[in-house]
Amino acid sequence: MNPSDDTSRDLVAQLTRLNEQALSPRTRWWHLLLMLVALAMAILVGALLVTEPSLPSRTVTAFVTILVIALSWVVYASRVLSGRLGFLANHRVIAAGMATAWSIVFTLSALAVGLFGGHRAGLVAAGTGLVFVAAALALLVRARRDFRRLQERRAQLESAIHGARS
Amino acid sequence: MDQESRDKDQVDELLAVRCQLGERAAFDELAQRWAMPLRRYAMRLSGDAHSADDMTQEIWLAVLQGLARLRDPAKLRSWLFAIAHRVLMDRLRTQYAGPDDHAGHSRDEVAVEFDGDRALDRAQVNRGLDLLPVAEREVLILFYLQELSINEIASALCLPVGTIKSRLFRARGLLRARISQKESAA
Repeated sequence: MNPSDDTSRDLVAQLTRLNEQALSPRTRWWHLLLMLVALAMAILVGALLVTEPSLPSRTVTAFVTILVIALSWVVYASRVLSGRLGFLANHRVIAAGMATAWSIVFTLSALAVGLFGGHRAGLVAAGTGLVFVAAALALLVRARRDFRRLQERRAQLESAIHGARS
Repeated sequence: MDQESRDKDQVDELLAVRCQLGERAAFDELAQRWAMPLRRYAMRLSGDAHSADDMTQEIWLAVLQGLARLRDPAKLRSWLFAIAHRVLMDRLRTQYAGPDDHAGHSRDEVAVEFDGDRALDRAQVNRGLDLLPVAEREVLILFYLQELSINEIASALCLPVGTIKSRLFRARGLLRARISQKESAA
C-alpha cells in the first residue's frame, strides 16, 4: 500500500473529526448564552408553576407559554452547540422563524390582555411586542433571501456541472 | 481559463455553497478534496511532516469556523490559501518572534516585472524549492504547484498583483540561480 494513501486517509479522517468539533468561538458563546438565559427562564417559571398551585388560570396559561418558548430556545441552542458547525444559512432561517413565531404569540397575548382584560399594561406590552415582531421579521426575510440565493446558485452550478459531464 | 479549471472552480463553489446551506456531507467532501493540497502546501513551506499535519488541522479549523462568512463562494480556492498563509505567518512569527517575512521585500518588489508565463516546470520547482526563502517558496508553490492565478495569489496573500508578479519574477530567478549553484557544486 502506498504510504501517501495512508497519509491522505488519516488526514481526511482527522479533518472529518474536526468537522464534528468545530464551532467558531463567537457562535459558541452566543448559543451558550442563549441556552443559559432560556434555561434560567424555564427553571424560574417552571418552579413558580410547581410551587404556586393557586395561581389564576390566565397566569398559568401565560407561564406555560413562557415555559414552552424558553424550552424551545434551549432545544435549539443545544442542537446548534452539539451539531458543532458554524451558524449556517439553515440555522439562521430556523432561529429567525422561531423568533418571529414567538414574538407574534407574545404580541397577540399582550393585545388580548390589553383589549379584553382592560389592562393598559397589556397594550404597552403589545406595542413592545410589535417592535420584536418587526425585528424578527426583518431577520427572517434576510435569512430566507440568503438561503434562497444559495439554493438558486446551487441549482445553477449543479446544472452547469451535470451539463458539462453529459 | 480552460474548461478543466472552470469545472474545478464550479465544483469548489458548489461545495462551498452546500456547506453554507448547512449540508453536513458537503463538509466531509470538502475535506476529502482539499486535505492533501493544503497539507502539501504546509509540508513544502514547513519542511516537516509533523508541523505540516498540525498546520493542516489549524487551517481546517479556521476554514470550518469562517466558511459561513465567506461572501463569495466562487473564491473558495484563494480563500483557503489565504487562511493557510495566515496560519503559516502566525507560526513563523511565533517561531522567530520577528517581523513579517514580507516586510523586507516590499520596496524592491515593485521595481521588477514578471513576464507572465509559466516558464519553469513542476520538476524544476520541486527540485529547488527547499533552497529558497519562505516568501519566494510560497509564491512558487501557489503558482506552479497549486496552479492559482496571479489574481488568486494576490487575494490569498493580501498583496497587490504587481507585488506578486515581481515576487514571482524574483523567485524564478533565485530558483534558477540556486539550482545551477547546487549542480555546479555537485
